[in-house]
Amino acid sequence: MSAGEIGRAGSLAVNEPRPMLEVNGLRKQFFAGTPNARLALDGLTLLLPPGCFCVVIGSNGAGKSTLLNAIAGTFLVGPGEIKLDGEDIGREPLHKRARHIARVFQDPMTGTAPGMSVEENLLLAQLRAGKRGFRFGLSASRRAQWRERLSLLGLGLENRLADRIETLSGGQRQAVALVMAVLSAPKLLLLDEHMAALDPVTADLVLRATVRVVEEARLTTVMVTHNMRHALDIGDRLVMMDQGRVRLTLTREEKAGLSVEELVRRFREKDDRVLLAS
Amino acid sequence: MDMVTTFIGLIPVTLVQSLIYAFVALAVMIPFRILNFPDLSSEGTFPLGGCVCGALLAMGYGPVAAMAAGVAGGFVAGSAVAMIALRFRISSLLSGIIVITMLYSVNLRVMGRSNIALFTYPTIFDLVHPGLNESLPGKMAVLGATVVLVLGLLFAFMKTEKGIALRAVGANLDMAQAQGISVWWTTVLGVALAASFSAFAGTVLVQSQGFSDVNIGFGVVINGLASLIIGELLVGRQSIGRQLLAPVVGAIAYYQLISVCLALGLVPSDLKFASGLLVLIMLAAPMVFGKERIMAREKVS
Repeated sequence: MSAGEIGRAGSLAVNEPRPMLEVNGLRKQFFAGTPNARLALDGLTLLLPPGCFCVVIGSNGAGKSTLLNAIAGTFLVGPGEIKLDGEDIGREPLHKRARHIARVFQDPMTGTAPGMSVEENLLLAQLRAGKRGFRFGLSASRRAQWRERLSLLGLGLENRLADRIETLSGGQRQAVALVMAVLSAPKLLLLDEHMAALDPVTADLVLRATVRVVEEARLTTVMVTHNMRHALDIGDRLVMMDQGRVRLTLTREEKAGLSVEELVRRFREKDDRVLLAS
Repeated sequence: MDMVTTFIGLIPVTLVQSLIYAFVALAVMIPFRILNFPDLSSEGTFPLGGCVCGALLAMGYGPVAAMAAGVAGGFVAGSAVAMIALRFRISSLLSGIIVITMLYSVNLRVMGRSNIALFTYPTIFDLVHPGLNESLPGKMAVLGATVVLVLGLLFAFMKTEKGIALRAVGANLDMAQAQGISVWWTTVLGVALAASFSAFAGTVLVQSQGFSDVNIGFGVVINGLASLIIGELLVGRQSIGRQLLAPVVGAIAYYQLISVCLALGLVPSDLKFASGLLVLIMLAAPMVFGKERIMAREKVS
């Protein structure tokens, strides 16, 4: 992201901020019309101001991944609208939304193309928002730029541009996927449990890289995680989902003093209330 | 001794033949290996190219126009295969078979009968150099140069921004979409490009052999597949360069192998069985040997 764009995002945040991401009354039913029908998103609403780093937690089946898929465009939702930077994207196909939405998947294999080099993968990501032409994409200036980005990770990946991506470890691939996601300055970054498949040491490394790139570029981010510790430690906002709805939202200040136990207790409390209400 | 002379005598003819069919092997390889969209429609686009070209030559059109029309026909047919498969979520193989079947009628319509003799019409070889059609080394040189040129262009294309996007669709569909690549257009254009190569081979074949026939496509896919497998065995597929080279090298090797079979006295009508058997063995080999190795390991432990 250029300095100018950061400045614009900053000024928006000072004035009455128009939400960068606006999800209104989103509904998604799986297996509709069958006995197995299940409401994955039940009128979900989520508003994120520009630059907001939102962490989403919730038990299995709460609809977290469905929410990310709905925003990214993996499927079209039923009622409800999705606006990105004021633009209604709810009917756009996935590859069109990808111009402005970057995503890192849980499985490092999902986010990178095997059989292709690290630099070819980076090029694919670099051109996500732009036109692809009959030019040779791997230029010296781009390589230099990628090397610089990769060196920030501290994994020595800057020396492996020409290597095939599958020769990298899972953690390294995920780190590259993260760099790929932020290369073209997306309006929205979706992180789908992107550390869940990694060992604790690598996960920690990827987590730190995540926080750095998100804060550096002030990216509007939605991160899904199962790790309560991460949910408390990072991000501007913590959203707890249950049965396809947002049950609890905590700001950075509200979650500051909270312990994992306390968070789990409040999670259960909400859960019980839901059970009693239904 | 007799057998060896027969084989050596066949080499020039076989080389010309293999340089033509190299384009079919390329047409099988691109969807199968690069786009991960297995497609057999060469069986239909190859004769389509030949029939359209033959019909136009017989109508008095020049070879360049006739070939361009044949290649365009292949492009359209290839697009149709991809569109049917993607739009209606039909297996690419089935979609290809549907199109092959329909093309048979189209080819008959285009030519008006099942074969046309083209000996009396000027061909692309005559255009390059008068009398070239009668010279095997001359044909070999022209076809060899064309193959090298096409491979060079394809190799360069695969390194461009568009080419890398094309490869990404085959390597990881989800990732390609998430990087803003339209899987629909990329697949349609990729398959259409491959089908154009197959149709191109058809246009060259009918001019080279001097007649066009609706049945020239019979079995070409298996030959193309066999060529590809042999080529990959010989040059590998670790890089995009090797992957592009494999079908061409394979085609040259495969038609020499066929030639050996003929020299050994195999009846030409048995060749299809032999080709099928060869492909079957090649495809089954890793499975059979892999299994044996696993069983041996289990015995040890």
